Amino acid sequence: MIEVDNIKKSFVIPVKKDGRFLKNLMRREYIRKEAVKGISFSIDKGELIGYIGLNGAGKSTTIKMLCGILKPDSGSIKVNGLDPFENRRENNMNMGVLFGQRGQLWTDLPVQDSFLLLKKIYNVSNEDYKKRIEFLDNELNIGEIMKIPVRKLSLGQRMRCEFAGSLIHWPSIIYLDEPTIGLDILTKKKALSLIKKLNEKCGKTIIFTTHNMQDIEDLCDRVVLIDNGKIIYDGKTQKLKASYTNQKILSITFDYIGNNDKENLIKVLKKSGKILNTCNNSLQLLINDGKIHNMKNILNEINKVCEITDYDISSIKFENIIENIYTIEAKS
Amino acid sequence: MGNFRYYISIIITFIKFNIKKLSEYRVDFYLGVFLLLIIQFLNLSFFYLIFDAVPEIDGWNLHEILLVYGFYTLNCGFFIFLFGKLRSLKAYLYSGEFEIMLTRPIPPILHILISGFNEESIFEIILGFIIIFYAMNNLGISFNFINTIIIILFMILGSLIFGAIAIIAESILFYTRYSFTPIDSIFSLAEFTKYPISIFGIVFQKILTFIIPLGFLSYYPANYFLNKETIKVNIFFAEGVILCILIIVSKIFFNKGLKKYEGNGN
Amino acid sequence: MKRLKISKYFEWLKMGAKIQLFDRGILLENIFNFIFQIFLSYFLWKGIYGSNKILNGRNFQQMINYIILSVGISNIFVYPNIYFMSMDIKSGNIAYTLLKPIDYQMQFIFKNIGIVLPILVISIFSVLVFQIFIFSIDMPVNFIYFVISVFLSLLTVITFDFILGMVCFWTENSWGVSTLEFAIVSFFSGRLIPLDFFPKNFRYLFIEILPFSGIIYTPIDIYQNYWSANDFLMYLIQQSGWIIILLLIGRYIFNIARNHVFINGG
Repeated sequence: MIEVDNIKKSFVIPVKKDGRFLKNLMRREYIRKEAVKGISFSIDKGELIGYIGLNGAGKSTTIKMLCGILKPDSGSIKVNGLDPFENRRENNMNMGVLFGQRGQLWTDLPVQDSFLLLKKIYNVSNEDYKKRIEFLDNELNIGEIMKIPVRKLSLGQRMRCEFAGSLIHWPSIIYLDEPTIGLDILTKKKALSLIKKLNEKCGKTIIFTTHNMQDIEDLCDRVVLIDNGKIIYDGKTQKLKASYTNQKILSITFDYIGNNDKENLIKVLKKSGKILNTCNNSLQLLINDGKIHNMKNILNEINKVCEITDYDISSIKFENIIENIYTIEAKS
Repeated sequence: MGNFRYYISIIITFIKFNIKKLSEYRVDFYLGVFLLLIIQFLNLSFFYLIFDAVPEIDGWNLHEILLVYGFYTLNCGFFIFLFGKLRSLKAYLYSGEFEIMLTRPIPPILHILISGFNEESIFEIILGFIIIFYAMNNLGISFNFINTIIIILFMILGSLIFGAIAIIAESILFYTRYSFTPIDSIFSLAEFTKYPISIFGIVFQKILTFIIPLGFLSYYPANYFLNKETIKVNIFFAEGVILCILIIVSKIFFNKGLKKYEGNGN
Repeated sequence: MKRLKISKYFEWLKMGAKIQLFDRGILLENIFNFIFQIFLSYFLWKGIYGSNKILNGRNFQQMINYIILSVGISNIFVYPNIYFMSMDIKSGNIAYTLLKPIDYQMQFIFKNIGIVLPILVISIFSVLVFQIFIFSIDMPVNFIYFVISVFLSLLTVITFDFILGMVCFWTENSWGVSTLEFAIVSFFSGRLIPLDFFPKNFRYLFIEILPFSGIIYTPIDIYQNYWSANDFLMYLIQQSGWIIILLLIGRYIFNIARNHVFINGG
């Protein structure tokens, strides 16, 4: 359904030099930044994909190219056979977009009027519109706020309406760029469950980007990781987790760390694994080989240097897996 | 043709919703209208003071000048009504709202135009009619049905011409990394048309007729009734041709600019 | 303690100057507008004078001098401070400023002086260029008096701006307030038309009593005519008095507004 073939995109950015404003006035210098350095993947109908990337990795640029907002410098994108940039209007009829930090509704008008305008824009029939509003009301509880002007809504209410607005035309492809930013727990849960429903029950193809790894883990069957303009992983979420099942996180608390013990303690810790974070007298350690035999050894060694008063062993979190991948990429 | 009906229905729905908003009492709206009235009062006082001192400006008496000014007000009002939101393009480019507009199945220009509504412009239109009526009365020109239709025709053509020029000016943002648009200079240029452009010299008049055809906002409509200048071509035909040319140019300019669009932020 | 305060003021001044000069687009626009306004006024007044030799005490040459000086000084109005102040208020940024130990009015005033001063300097410089090459304006009768009067004009406009900016606490239509302020000040300061054109009954009020004449009319008068030290001193005291009154009104309204903000909360 979506075929991306070796797309590249670079930008030209002006460089401002501090302090010499007279020079800036006359001539600007430019540097070329390669945002996307050759990406290929394909997405089938009905997939729910998590698209992960650090800030500046080329994530938003890719999404914008898929949406038809930007044109790739080279390579091609085909969404249902259409080029999203060249056939923008035709493609947009079937595409829904929710960019977390940017609103798409008319702020001065009541929510209902915005929806009706969208209904006109997307040529939605009266029956379909009625059905969908009912459905969205059930899922997102927007019925009670339909008559309020958008600008008077709280952030949570507004995001729910924005989400609903992106679905009025029942697109078969939906792009969600950080849709849960700034939402409270309840609203976020509603949004995420709706996303799942849209994918599983309604068969919609969804591409979902967020910085919250837990959401990706819960929702997405497949993840694509992008770093520095290239894809570094594209595959099943489960498979990614499986390759790290041996890893464990060991949390240790000490009552008291003597000053002369400190150096030795750090040596032992570094030998056993990677220190994730520390706080007062406790720390978290990432251990590659989490088999019981190894764990026992590590605990013993640490205890020898400094007495452990409390400890906890847990499986590695998806978030840490991702963090790990990026750290390795950064080093290479 | 089906497309046309589609666009019209969107525009009508949009206008419908905004007119509905008018029925609510809003301090801001009444303040806006009040402001508008004061500004018009000051503008008209300016003319009054001048004609207190002299009987005519370059051969144009008070009521002839008022006719020109009336058309200016009328056309600018209708222009703001249709195209007022064009001025926000720079803001939309910077905030990223423009990107969202690109994800909709309607032309981005249309989306910009319906992104907001300027109710006060309706009053400017009404005021324009009033000034024209007053001037015509004092000039012995009858304000009959045919003339009213002609005035409305001038209003539509003039505003569309101004709109196309504004689109070209705003499109320059795409070519200058969103930093520069000469739209404010165009508005300054339009201020010249408050007065009969013939007083500014032949060269300038030709510029405002053929290069940046703002003369059709006020001078040529007024001239139709006053015949101060002999024009060999049918004025409506001329406006129609110029409008067609401008529509084509503005379309090309804007779409080429769109191709250069690079989004914003990371 | 005192030295710290003064350096703070200069910081705001510098900040203001940086804002203005960094945008190439705005600089270009200002130059265009300058040329446009002089062009428009020249032909308009040429048309008005027609065959008349003297109008209200001025011949055509003097009138043109008046207009050019008016345009030069009018650059005091370029910066939309009211708009930005309303943005501050709308976005809630004002809350930060209110929390810091900064005198909001003083910051506003010094920042705006910083913004306007560079443009004003360029403006006056351009006027002198016109003087030498194009229109042959006479040298100012007393340059120092003139400079002082322009500076007082600047302070008058800024303090008045501040008061109208406060209105934005109560309305969202900041553009309307800004335009209204510009229209009113333009009209009553003699920017568009010398105050001598006003009906006799109003002349005394507008010229001698209200502070607006001190923005354009009086500085030009000082430029073009001989003012004795006594007369100048009287004017100095009167205009400064007005500035202080406007300052105090500004502070008073600000205090009311500040309480209003705190009552309405976040």
